[in-house]
Amino acid sequence: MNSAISNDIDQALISLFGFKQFRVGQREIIESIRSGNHTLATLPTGSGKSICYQLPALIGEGMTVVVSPLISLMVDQVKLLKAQGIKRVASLNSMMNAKQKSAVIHRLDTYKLLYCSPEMLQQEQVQLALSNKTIDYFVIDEAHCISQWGHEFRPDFLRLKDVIKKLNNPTVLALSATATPSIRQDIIKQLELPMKQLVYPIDRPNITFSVDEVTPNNKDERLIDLIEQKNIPTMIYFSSRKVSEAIYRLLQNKFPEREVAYYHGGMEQDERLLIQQQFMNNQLDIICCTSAFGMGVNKSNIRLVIHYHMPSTIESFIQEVGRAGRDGKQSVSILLYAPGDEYLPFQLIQTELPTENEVNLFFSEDIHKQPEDYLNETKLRFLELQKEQHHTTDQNEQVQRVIQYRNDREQIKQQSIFKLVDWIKTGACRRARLFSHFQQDVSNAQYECCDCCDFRLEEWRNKPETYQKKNKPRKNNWEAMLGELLIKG
Amino acid sequence: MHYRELLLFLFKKLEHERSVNAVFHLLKGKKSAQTLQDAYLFQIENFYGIDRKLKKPTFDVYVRELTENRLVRVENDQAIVTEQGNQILRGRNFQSYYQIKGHKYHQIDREFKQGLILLIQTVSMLIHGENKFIPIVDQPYIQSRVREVLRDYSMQFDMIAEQLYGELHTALSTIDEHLATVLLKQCSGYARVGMSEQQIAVEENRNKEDLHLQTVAAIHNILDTITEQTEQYTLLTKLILKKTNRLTVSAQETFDFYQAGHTLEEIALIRQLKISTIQDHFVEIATHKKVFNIYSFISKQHLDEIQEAIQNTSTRKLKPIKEQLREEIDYFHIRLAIANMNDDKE
Ligand SMILES: Nc1ncnc2c1ncn2[C@@H]1O[C@H](COP(=O)(O)OP(=O)(O)OP(=O)(O)O)[C@@H](O)[C@H]1O
Ligand SMILES: [Mg+2]
Ligand SMILES: [Zn+2]
Repeated sequence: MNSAISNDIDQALISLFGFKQFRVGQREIIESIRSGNHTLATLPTGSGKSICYQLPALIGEGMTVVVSPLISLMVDQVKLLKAQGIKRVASLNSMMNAKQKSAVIHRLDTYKLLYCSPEMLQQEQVQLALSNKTIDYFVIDEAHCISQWGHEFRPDFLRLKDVIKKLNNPTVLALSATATPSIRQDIIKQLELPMKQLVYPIDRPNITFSVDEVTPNNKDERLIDLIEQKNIPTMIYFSSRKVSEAIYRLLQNKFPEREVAYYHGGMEQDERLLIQQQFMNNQLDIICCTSAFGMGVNKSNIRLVIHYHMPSTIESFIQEVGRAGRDGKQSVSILLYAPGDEYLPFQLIQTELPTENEVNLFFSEDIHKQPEDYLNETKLRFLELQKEQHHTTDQNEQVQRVIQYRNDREQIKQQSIFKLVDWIKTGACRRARLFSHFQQDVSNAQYECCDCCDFRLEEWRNKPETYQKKNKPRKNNWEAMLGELLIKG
Repeated sequence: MHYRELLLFLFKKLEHERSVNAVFHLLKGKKSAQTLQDAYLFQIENFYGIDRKLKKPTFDVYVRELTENRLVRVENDQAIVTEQGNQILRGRNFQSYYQIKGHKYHQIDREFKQGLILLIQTVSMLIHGENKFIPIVDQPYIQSRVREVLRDYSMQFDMIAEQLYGELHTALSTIDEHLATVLLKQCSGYARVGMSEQQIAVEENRNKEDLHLQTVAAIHNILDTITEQTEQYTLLTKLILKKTNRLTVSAQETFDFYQAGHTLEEIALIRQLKISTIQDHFVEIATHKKVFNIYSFISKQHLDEIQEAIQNTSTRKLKPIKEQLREEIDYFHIRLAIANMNDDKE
């Protein structure tokens, strides 16, 4: 790589983002795609993957398309960039109405960065418009979703390879913090591209891991005890919206002096926006949330991530824990586990995959039974996709193959739950075990390692901690509030 | 007032006349001729469309609660208010609760609120030297509206802040103090992100829906104040997005045909719709359009007779009115006459 180009990007890092130095891996990834290599890169959560494509996009000649799995993530990124003064960005997603979409499509020339959902990229109108533009880079953020979701219910992830061809083969960058070797292989296979792999270790040395074994009856009590002692910025993860709200109410009652909120996918858009911004603005001490508030969420000072429910995969766990300590300071992860907790994720599988009976029924094409009546949306999408993927003229054969496939997926899902249960029950170093699925070695913990090594959960939790809140208390009458907002000084 | 009391009041109004769900549609502001006319017919138009985000399960929970507390009985899909329920309603005036005016403002209140919140945030940020911030309101048309307002004042932020403060201060001084506080808590700006209705509800130990009612009331009160004296509120009135057409799409289409010279029967034929559907449209048109000439459907004499019958029965329920009238006067005529009584037409 010649130094002139290197210089370019150093300059841009300062002028566009205000950072003096690249972090580990950023320069290498940027240089790799700037030299035209299709690249698959892994870097830890919070390490600055966004800059790896935002910077080259902004200094490139043409346009960059970013595929992102979650609409909320996409919308946030765009807003954030705009707030930073980077205005030539837009997103295309299914939440927009036809008028808004076509407004974006007509103004494609004005954008450097276009965030798109895989589903939108399947629309002919979008493909056509994009194929007339020079696309420098085609980025797939959170690329593990190709492998995790693509096979089951978001087939458009698997169709990205065709989109890439239609866009005249731009340089592809796939990014993830949680891609195991087999997921990386699958990504490369699905994209059908020769890819340079820049695999950086993804462990987080500043996070201390621990599991708190509780009983179903004393889980709430243990949580309350913990929160009582530790008045620090905290996220609590749940697999159920309902429970997240219930515990929110519980905590709100117990700790009226703390700011508690909840966040999940079932809330109104306006409300979600408010809560998220309160969170980013340090107005909340505790947020009770589901995985909807996971991937990509970037707040610097989360000190404690609690899992009230265990997630279904190691990957989700790492993503969620990855919200902690993004400022590099010590942070703690605590998973509350009661025997039998794994029952919930196992049950979840049954709502995601159709039963053998349902597969048979679906293919029997009984005109009296509409698939919509006996299948939920996830199952329906799964079956529609599999019908297409396992197409043969022999219908019996097809049904057998789909059932086989369904069983395979079930097994994969069950195993990933077992992996997490194993991790919960392990007596060996949790850090080493957790990241062993992704890489061979783990760097030493920067602070305490885990409750199987040097971390004493009981001692830690019995040591009260508080933090300096940045916010003044709210005024309580309208006149004062109005003055605070609109009168300077 | 509590949401549950409002529901109780509305059930009372529709007692023996309409199904439980009619109240749901009313609050949601369902754009059907039936719902719109019912609103006027039963004099509950103030509550039309005041909770457009209401979800059926939430509504059902309230109905269940009212039934469990024996304030309401549900029979044949209709809600009957019990003696206990009547006692709660007795002696209290819900009709003009905080002067909420759903029929008048349901099309503009949410946009006005969001425009106001975004304008406050923007101005607050800018006068404090923060020009990089994430707008608290997402909708592009609200954002562009606020941008236009700022441009109208040539981006003189200090001046806008002063004027905004002044106008809001005067307007809020005219409304209930508590309502003003509820609204201000939801506003964002420098160093502070506003609260959601849900959060304020927890703080005040009320239901989220109660808080929503209060917010709507606050917005309607402000709208009343500023539209009465537009010259005093030049900045705030700029946030009112004009949407004048109150007709449903289908009724508008019928109205277009009518204005082009077609008769009711012709329109039904052309549009392949039932006569009764087109009649619904005309009742809707009579409710909202000043230019509509009711005498092309009903004679002056019949209209007078119907109006007299309405006065005699002192009800707007159709059946008792019909019973007082000659055979040849049908329900369509009566509904037209009632619609014609609406004095808030455009
Ligand atoms: N070179 C740098 N110097 C200083 N800060 C940086 C640098 N690069 C990125 N950051 C900051 O690091 C934070 C995390 O970045 P980013 O959100 O891109 O992480 P990520 O790798 O995408 O994480 P996740 O996997 O959780 O999505 C951001 O606040 C970003 O501004
Ligand atoms: Mg990211
Ligand atoms: Zn360890």
